[in-house]
Amino acid sequence: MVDDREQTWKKTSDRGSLWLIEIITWVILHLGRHVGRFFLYPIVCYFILFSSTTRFSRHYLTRSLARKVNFSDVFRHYYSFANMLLDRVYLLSGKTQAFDVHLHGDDIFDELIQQNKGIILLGSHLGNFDLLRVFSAKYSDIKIKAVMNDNNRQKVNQVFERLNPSLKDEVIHIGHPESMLALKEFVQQGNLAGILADRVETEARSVSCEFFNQTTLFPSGPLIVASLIQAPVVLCFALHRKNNQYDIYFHKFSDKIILPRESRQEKLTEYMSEYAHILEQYCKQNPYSWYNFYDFWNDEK
Amino acid sequence: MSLSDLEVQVGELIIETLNLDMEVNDIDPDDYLFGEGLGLDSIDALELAMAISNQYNFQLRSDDANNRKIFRSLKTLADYIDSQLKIG
Repeated sequence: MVDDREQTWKKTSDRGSLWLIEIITWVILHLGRHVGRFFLYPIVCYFILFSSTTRFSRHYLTRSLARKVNFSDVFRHYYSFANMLLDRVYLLSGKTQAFDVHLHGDDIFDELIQQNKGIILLGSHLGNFDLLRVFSAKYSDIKIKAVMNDNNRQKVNQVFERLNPSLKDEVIHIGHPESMLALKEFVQQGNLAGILADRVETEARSVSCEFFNQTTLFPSGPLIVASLIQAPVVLCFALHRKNNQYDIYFHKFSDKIILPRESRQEKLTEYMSEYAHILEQYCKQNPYSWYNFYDFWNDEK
Repeated sequence: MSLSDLEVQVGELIIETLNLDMEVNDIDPDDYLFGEGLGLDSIDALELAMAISNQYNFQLRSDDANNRKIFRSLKTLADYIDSQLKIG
């Protein structure tokens, strides 16, 4: 079921970062990654001064750092975000070899790939999900597609698609009646579908979970789909360390999501609470790397 | 407007599969299933497509060029199922 209330992230986060992405894309393509990194400082400073989203950064950092937030924290947060965008631009232009990536827990894939049931990969806005491009270069026999909302990020996607025209084929857009049917067919061919599971599309498809000691909404759709197509679920976090180094962590979440009809919502809440708990642990360890710049906890209501 | 037998059957399948709080006669066969109208989303469509393939033994495919039409309303969905049953 669809409800009319627009989720706040659709109104704030991506519109705010669009011109940041435009600038970074230009810098990267004309000046390269090393010079580009240098330019991030003035760009981020300018962005912080003129962006209306910095208060959301503070809302989050107060929780992840568990202390009072100062300007340099906010700067670090946005610098980390800009750096992620920069690496994304770089990855999308096909330069996957430029990264030094350490995989952790990827031994689970050997078994999962053999089962040939496909995999649902639950990511988040922590770190850089696009690093999976490097992963897919290693496991070349399985294909990866990202599940994305196109309407609200159209402009951002246009920037990225200009960069990498084949991007369209690597994405399953939600919002068409047949979208999830396409996902089912793709996954059941033994492939891997990645979904970012820390943004709610519609309240009707959400559950309330504890996240940093406060209840807020998480999407329930990804796990409903996983249960329908009976695909195993793996969590994934790709985190930047320094320079070109990344760590990607994988966790087996469930071999099979089972949602009894009479207690579907309760069971979904249980599953997503576990997801939120694991995400929170990673956020505490990597406090500047979570990029949901909107009113996540409804602090401003 | 009265429903055909197959429309009643498919309407009941929709209500049962998606756990909707309504009667089959509440559905206008020409009303949109997605967006406005019944307000279904693509996850509902997946559940529905799986229920249809169980009950009627044919697969709905995501790459069918006629999907927009097939999934438009109860009437168009029932018509499509009818056409598939005749082929089968």
